[in-house]
Amino acid sequence: MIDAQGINKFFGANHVLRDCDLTVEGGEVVTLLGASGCGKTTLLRCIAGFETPDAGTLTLAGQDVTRLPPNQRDVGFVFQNYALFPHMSVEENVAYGLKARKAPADQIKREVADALDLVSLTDFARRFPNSLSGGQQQRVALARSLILQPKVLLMDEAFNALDAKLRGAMQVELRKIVKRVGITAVCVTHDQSEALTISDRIAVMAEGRIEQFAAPAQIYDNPTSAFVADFIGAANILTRDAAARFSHAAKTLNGNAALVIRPENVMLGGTPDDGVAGKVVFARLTGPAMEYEVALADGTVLRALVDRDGHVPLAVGADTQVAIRNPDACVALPGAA
Amino acid sequence: MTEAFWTRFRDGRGVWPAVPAFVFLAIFFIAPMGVLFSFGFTEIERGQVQENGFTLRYLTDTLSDDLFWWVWWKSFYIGTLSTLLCFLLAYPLAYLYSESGRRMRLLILVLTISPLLTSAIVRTYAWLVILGGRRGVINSTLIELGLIERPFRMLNTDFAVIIGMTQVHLPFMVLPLITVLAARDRNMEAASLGMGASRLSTFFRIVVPLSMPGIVAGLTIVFALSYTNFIIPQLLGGGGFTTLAVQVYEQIVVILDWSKGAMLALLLLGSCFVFILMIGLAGNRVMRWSVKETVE
Amino acid sequence: MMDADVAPARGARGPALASVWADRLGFFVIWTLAGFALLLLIAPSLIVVMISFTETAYITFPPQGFTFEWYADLFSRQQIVESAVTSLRISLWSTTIALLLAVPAAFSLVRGRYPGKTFAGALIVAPQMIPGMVIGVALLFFGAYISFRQSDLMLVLGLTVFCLPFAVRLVMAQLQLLNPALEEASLSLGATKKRTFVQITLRQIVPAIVAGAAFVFIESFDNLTVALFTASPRARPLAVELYNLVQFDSSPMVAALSSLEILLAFVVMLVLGRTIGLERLAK
Ligand SMILES: Nc1ncnc2c1ncn2[C@@H]1O[C@H](COP(=O)(O)OP(=O)(O)OP(=O)(O)O)[C@@H](O)[C@H]1O
Ligand SMILES: [Mg+2]
Repeated sequence: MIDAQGINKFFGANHVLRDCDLTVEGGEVVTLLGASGCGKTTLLRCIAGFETPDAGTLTLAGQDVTRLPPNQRDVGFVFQNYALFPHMSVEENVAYGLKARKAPADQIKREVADALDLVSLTDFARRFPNSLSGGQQQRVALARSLILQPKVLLMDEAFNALDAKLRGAMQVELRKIVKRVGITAVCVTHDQSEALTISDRIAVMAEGRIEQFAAPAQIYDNPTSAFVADFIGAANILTRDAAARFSHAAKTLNGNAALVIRPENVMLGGTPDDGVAGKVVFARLTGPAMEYEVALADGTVLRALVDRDGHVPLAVGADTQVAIRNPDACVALPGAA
Repeated sequence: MTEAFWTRFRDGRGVWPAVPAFVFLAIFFIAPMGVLFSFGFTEIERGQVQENGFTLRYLTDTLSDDLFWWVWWKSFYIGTLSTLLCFLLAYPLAYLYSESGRRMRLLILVLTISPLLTSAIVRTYAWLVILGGRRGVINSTLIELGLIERPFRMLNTDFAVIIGMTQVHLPFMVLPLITVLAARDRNMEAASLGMGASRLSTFFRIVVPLSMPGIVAGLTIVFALSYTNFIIPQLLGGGGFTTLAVQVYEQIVVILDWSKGAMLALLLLGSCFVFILMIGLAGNRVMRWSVKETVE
Repeated sequence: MMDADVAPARGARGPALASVWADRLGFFVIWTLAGFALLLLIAPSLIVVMISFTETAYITFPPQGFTFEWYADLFSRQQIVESAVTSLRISLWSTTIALLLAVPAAFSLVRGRYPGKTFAGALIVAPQMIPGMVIGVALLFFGAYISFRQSDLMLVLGLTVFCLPFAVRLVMAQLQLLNPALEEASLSLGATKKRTFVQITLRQIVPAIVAGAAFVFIESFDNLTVALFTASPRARPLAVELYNLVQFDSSPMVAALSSLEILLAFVVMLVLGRTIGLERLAK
């Protein structure tokens, strides 16, 4: 549905997008994930047509749209603060696109009613955006885009303006609505849990590049770079020398430069046969688990997440044995850590 | 540098809408200002510019005229006094605004902005009525109360001009002060009080210094307005009363000596800028703390 | 008052008694001055309005009796009615021209990307730094230089120069508040550029345009400093007429005319309050 090839974008001397390739299938929900300033918004705005790439081509549903202005692209965009028109009621906001297309009045009426129904806002049709909660505003923005049945729906940090609790609920809600309509969607976020909740596939971006583009589980289990490993879930990334101490894991390393060990894969106490001596330097409760930082003899600090079930908490300063629970779950990386 | 310049220039969309305004100002503002400037240095007879008429005569004549310096001093003194009086009244009012609820704020805003939109002559006229001879509001009230027998002479005095200017220019002082005072961070006052400072010393040592940008803005505007106002001195100061601004008017409209008038106008404008600059510099000195240090 | 919302935890010993009294005295002085400032702002207008209803043939306070005679007298004076019409016409012209120049210029100064934009902005608001008298004098001399006489047209031009900065700044402020995402949203919903401009951009800055118009109108209508130098001696605007009346006519009719101008100011203020709000005007 979306096919972006070799997208490059400069802002003055600032090279913001570097050879980005992104192919999204019809009906798929994809998330662009990355740290602030890595170019997520810029890539999304290129797809929407608000920015024109300096190099590369963009195809939507088989049509080359690289140089097409946004109002001819048939793309829906949900903005960070929703950009609802403050001088129009909910109804008028939702009808705006159809009116711009000069649709007949009765059709507009019917479709607006359907769209408001889809996002459960029928009772709010006459209200103005300023009198709506953040969640309601977001749904209006969604209805306003979806009513036009665009080829793709783009969303930039659409949950940022919501408080933490509502955010989780709206993410689930959004995924349901998007799947019900069956639309292709690209979302932008820097919140990894949001990405895991709503996407079929995640594209992790760093410094204008797409580092890895795969299903959430794939990204979590098999990160292809230290950056990805660290960005999705916390990761211990050990250099070859540090990893060599763990004899079981050493064979996974298999000559590579670094080893990724997830904190929940680190075992404390336990049998000393693969163990390395360490000292607890930090401990905190994260709810269902205890999180520790353990310093090894050479100064390497490992993060460990230990299920509290049957675990006697360790105090800061306690000596312990560090081992790897499942060596096969470790991932070796060729690049330097 | 040139590289960046041309990239920007290629990006240079959106100049055109401003061009009509530029052209308009170039013709009807910049060019006239140029003519005004040149008239101060040109011989003019019966409205006709003379050939090869360049002269420094008007500049030297004016500067060596004792009367000019006397008039200038009067302008300065009237402008300064009325500006300070304005400040003395406006600051408490703006502070009251910042400490008030919605209704009181609205009232203060209405009372401040409505005179701003009322013609200055109307407001000066009010002072003629209030201060004027035997039937003036103040005198008639005092006589009625039996406090005095013969009316005070209030009109046609420095006092009349200063109070008139203060009243007419008060809104220009209040508004910038309201803006800074209403937006101020109250935590600092709480901190100061918490450390045991009295409310009064908190007011003078925290509130007033932090409102310095508004104070400078207000002083600048009001001084410029008072220094160049020629209507109020004419109406409230009486026939003999004169300031630099009044002189400009009289030279040009009554005496019709345009070159002298132009030179006086230029001196008025120039000295006004100098004073404004001085207020700004003094403000900067007081606000040293606000200068952001650039750390590389 | 301050201690209503911030209950200060005083130092261990608390302030000395003397300083409590100094506090009280200090704040008494502050509130008194504020009260006096309010009185100074409102009393003159109030007195003028009151006097305009007096039955006496001369100005007196307190006014005696109550009559509309002076208002009737006002409208029977052809000279005044004519100059009011002149002022109205001139103000409408300068308002129109100022806005036609200011709105596009504000767009350019906020949205445009070109070298020297800051300088351009400074140039456009420069007339604000020049007293009205100097603008008037300059225009008078310029006119003499190119053989163009004092006239309605010269007055309109002078007033436009004088008022342009206000209009530009009002519209610029509103444009800066405008969220650019609104326009992008409109485009992404398939609206044309023209539709987006009219229905979103322009619609959002209408309040500033109306406020700017009201402001320029009243400034032009009341202006004396520019008018004294540029107005035609034959068709005098109301401000100049009033200036003469104030000096040479002691009839309460002058107070009646002034009262009408005060009324006009309140109408304009209502418009400003409704469109952009008085708080924003303060800036
Ligand atoms: N209009 C612009 N002009 C110049 N530079 C820009 C512009 N928009 C973005 N940039 C720069 O491009 C880079 C990428 O910006 P972008 O907004 O795409 O980041 P982002 O990944 O969306 O970050 P965030 O999570 O903070 O929203 C940043 O360095 C930013 O400063
Ligand atoms: Mg972004």
